[in-house]
Amino acid sequence: MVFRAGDLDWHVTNDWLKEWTYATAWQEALRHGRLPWFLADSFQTTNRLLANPETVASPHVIALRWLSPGTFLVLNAAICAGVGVVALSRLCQALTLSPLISFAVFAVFLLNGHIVSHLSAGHLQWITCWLLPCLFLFLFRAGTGDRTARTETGLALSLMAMTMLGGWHVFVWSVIFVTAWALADRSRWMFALRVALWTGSLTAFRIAPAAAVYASSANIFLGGYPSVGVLVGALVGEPRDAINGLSWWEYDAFVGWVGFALVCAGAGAIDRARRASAEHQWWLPSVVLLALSSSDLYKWTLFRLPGFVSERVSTRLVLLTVLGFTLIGSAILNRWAAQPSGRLWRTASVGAAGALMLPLLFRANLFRPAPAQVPAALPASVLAMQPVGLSYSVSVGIGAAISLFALALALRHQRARPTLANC
Amino acid sequence: MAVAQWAWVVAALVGAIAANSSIAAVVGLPAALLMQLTHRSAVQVPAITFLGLLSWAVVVHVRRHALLERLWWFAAGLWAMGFAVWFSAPAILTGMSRMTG
Repeated sequence: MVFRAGDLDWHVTNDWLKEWTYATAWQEALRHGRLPWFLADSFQTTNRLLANPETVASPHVIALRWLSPGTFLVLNAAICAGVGVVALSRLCQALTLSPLISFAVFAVFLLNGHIVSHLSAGHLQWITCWLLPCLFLFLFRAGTGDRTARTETGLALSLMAMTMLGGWHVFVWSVIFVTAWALADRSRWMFALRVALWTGSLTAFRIAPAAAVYASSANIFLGGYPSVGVLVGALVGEPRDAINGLSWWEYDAFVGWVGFALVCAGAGAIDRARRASAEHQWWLPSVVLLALSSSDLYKWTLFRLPGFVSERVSTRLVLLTVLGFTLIGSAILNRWAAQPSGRLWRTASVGAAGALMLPLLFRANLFRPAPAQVPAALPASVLAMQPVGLSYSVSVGIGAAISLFALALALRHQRARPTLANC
Repeated sequence: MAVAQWAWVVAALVGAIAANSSIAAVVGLPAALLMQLTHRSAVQVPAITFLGLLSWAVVVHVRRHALLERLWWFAAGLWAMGFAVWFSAPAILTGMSRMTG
């Protein structure tokens, strides 16, 4: 099996070495009282840590002064999961989903094969996928008419949180999703424009240095889903060997048969009655991301744009499709389960379906690694002393200043008295 | 999966519903944390608490009790954080310890 059921050789896996180096660089810098401008080694074609948007750059890195890199990253994962569930609870309440239906959404959101397999492969930035309910929550509020500054800044702050924790990929997928959502209805354009301005300002501390000293168009596109069969296999099937040179974790989107039924229900909600419902606003963006994750469509379109060139593997975009369709499907299931006739057997059916989601957990267990075998030889110091250069230092300084100013303004809007729609 | 493990899971599900689903979940969550702290992170612990959450959701779905529903989300949040630690701690800590020795 290509991914060895999660039992990877961490010491020879570049992703793990990369994550360890990023965290250790902050630790080393904090303990020596300086900024981690340069790494001794290059990762993702750069050794400029502050210009690499897949590193953690949030205020809580200060905890690395006392915590080990491993403990810090576990803490990060727990925080993201906790925040994600808080947002999910508000989203489910906004969608008036019953706890039983919410349980199914909760299981797909937390235990889906995409996140689990990527985390298992050492892609620790994927913990920011657990922040995606924030995106859906604010889009739902905007879609139901609440396009206040509070909603705008809430959405932009959610996107900022992803970039702060190194989730650049998740940020890019979210931007595509929001753009598709906005383009679908002209009345959303101004809202989307304001969100774009907020997001640009709030993430300037990541985008400005990356644009100034890191931006590269030399990426090679690696692939999308080659066929519908592979996509369906990724949603419900067992892990397979590499396809087109890509390991299975790049295809894996396992949601089990119950999750698959929800996804199909959401995907099939194209009739007029369902189109009128508020959650249906996610249908078109979900379809757009599904199309972009297929074959080489992304390569010939967005891959040519700055920033979007980072998505060399377009299969990853399917996560937002899965979550979007799951939410739409759950709303449909909720209406079905709430019908007064035959409520008992309807509840029993949904409960039994919930129990059938247990294999998601057992599957996640397979991706947990075996105990350590061979420790790797690591450098005593991961930082390098080099002349910083004007463009690098200025872009970091100006980017941080813009982001701090925007953050102060955004938090002011968030503290404003919420409207009824925000409650 | 072994038949015995499935039997264990079914027994846990029946037991959780028969006894009291809410209590099963509330007791199960600290048990999961305890197992984490003692490094006995078997899949059975998250599994039984997962089913506890499900059975609790069934109760709330039928009775529609606002406080129980809020408590359910609180428990779900705790479960998610527990899952993140259960899943990622071995991966991250093992990955790191393999490098640091």
